[in-house]
Amino acid sequence: MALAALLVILGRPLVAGEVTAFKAARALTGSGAPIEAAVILVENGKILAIGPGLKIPEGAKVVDLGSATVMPGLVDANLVLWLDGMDNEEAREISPEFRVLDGLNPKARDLQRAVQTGVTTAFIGPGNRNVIGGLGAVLKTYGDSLRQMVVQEEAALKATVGSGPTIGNYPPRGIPPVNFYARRPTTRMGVTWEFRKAFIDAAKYAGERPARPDPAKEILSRALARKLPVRIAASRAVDIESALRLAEEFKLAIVFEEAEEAYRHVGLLAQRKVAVALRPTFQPGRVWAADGSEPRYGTFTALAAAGVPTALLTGGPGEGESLLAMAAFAVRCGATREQALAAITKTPAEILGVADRVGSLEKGKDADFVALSGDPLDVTSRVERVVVNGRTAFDRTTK
Amino acid sequence: MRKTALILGLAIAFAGPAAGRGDESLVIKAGRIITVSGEDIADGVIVIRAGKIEAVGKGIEVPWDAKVLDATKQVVMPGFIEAHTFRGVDRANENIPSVPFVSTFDSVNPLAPYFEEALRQGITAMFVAPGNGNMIGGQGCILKPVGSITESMTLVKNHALKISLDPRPGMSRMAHLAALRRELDDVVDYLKDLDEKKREVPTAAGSPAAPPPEMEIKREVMAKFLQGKLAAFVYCPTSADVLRAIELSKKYKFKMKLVLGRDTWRAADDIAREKLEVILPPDMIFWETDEEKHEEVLRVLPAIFAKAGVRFAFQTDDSSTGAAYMWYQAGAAVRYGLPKAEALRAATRTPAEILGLDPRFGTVEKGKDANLLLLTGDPLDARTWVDRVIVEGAVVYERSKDAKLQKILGAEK
Repeated sequence: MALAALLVILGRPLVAGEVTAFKAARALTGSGAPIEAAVILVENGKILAIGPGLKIPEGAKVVDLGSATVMPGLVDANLVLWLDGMDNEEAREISPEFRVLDGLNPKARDLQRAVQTGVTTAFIGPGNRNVIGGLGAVLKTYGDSLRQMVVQEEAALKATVGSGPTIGNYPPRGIPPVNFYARRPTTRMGVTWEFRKAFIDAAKYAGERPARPDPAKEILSRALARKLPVRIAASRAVDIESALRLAEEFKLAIVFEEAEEAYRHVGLLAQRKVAVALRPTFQPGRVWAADGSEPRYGTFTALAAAGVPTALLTGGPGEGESLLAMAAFAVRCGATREQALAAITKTPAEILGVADRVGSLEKGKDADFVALSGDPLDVTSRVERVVVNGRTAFDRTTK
Repeated sequence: MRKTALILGLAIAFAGPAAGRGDESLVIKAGRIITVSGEDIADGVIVIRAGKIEAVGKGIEVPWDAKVLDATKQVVMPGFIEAHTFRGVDRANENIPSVPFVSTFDSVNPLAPYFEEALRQGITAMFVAPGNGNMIGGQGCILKPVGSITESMTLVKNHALKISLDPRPGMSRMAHLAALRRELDDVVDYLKDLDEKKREVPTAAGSPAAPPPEMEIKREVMAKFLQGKLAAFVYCPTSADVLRAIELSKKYKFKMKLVLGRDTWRAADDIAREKLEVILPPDMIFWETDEEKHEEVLRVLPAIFAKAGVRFAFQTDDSSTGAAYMWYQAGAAVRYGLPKAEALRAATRTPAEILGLDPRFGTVEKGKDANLLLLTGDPLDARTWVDRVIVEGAVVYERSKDAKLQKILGAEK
């Protein structure tokens, strides 16, 4: 009986046509001024209406969030989690047709944890160990099945430019190439070459179009036709430069991931209109960082000020490394409130191409939101409730 | 004439920051003083003389010759104290399991970025201990992040012995504990032997006077430890280790503070019963999987230990973003219900008590060292920066002159 009651509260599937009204002291919509005494009417997982003191239709279920501040569900532009199995193919450096979705457990504990920090939509991609790792997906962090959670099955092609794909590698001399390390590339030159070779072959393939399609080259051809964005993980300035050169050469639509040293190429990134999913650069006293890069506090501020669309990423899977914390750190390091909040909601939604559904609280968009005990940029505020597609995915009071 | 003016100018420049050191007074007019020892004081005054706080309160008469620091738009609080860290040294552990005779004092690198960043973030004293990797790791030293040679940074040269109950890779807990007991028994036997030999000396009357037996140098640290003259900081990764530590400290009668890992919260009541002071791990708020319900449960160590009545200090760590800052640790604890005053205490006064520095550090009170932070706003607000740091009455950090900070905040190449 109690279990049944809990199920009703937590995972209640919304009956078509049924309206739920969420009431909160304040709503930050991400698309206009804050709304006091906000009412959000939700139907079929979508926002029917949002405004101050809206009239609640008769028969609607009312959820009173009390003194909470509601904001759009957070969008993580690169949620790193444990896949069931590895996140890179061992036997090949170029594996564009591999789909991260095939290794994803919809009940993964990292997804459940992400929900608790307010993340409702996330990009999940292959790791940094392959030059071209495969296809990443955009999904909701909560739902009954993977099918229900998926927003974009093939959202972007993941690639890495830098030393990531070379770490520990050696050529397979006289031994069977059975693991990561018995393989090429072993240098930055080698990484760039593997990347180029893959796209040169794909361009040739696209020109010839053989009768039997090659799944890997099909994917690369889509990237060449700018129908599939390429997410390039690059940490150091030299790698950002290399990646920009490659993008120019093959006319690819790219998005940078990590990019700790992006502050060295702010002008170039702004000019090329390339977006960045930025790994946090707020670690004080750190002498080392990813790939030997030199992070700076002000990187986000500089990128945002130059108009480079920049999403903030988390510092890791920990509670203290949440997107909300990163937004607070961005403001600490000079960003405006609007820039910081957009960088964890609207901007990543735009970068992922899902801004028509998520990233702000507006009529017709998905009913994804977070109820906080206070202002989102106050580090003492906590996540009280998370709603995904109109359903409560997390409620602190029942924990 | 110009030269004289220059010298005079320099003299003033140098006399300025040190005004609170000698006989001259340094006065801080603060918008708000967080004393930690009592209530906050709005529009308060702190009078510093000879590096000590001479007076603190409202409406205190300012000595006519005092140099006045205007912090009327700022918040003044005691410097943060790091009760345990193994940063600032080249390697945290020697590669043999028992090395009581080594000290981190000999491996401190004053130029390590940790010290620079610690000062920038308001940490004014830290216990640099050996790492958690050795059974008996050696002694640590208490430093202030001011100065460019270890001697000038040192507050206490050899402070306490570091013991770890975390078995080394490839070793079982049983073997680890057995080795530790053997080590301790060995010292007990040695001290008994030495005592007996000393008593035997006078009985050898008539024969040529034998020199009284002396303690071997390598035994000195362990002897001091078991004689109760040196406390231990015992690292316990799990609740079971906490119970073993309590058992050992009773059997061998040593004093200890606990450096806790994440999985120790189940021993909170045992720790409270023994009235032990503890240092929480840097990642003190984390998820665990409830295997029965298939739910991710957030464990909030500050809330659990506060409820059990355990006195704790926060610890920072540079491996993660938020946990790198003492103010953030306090903020994170407040997020999950710890009262703000208690959170600030766990970053200042409690670590001072754990390190035995409380007569000098940890609060803004008459008679204490003038170790103060002048903040641009409330300490738990992410937008707040440390504007100035005063250590022993001298201004040792000014944000406006922190060129490195300007560089890393800016975007120039």
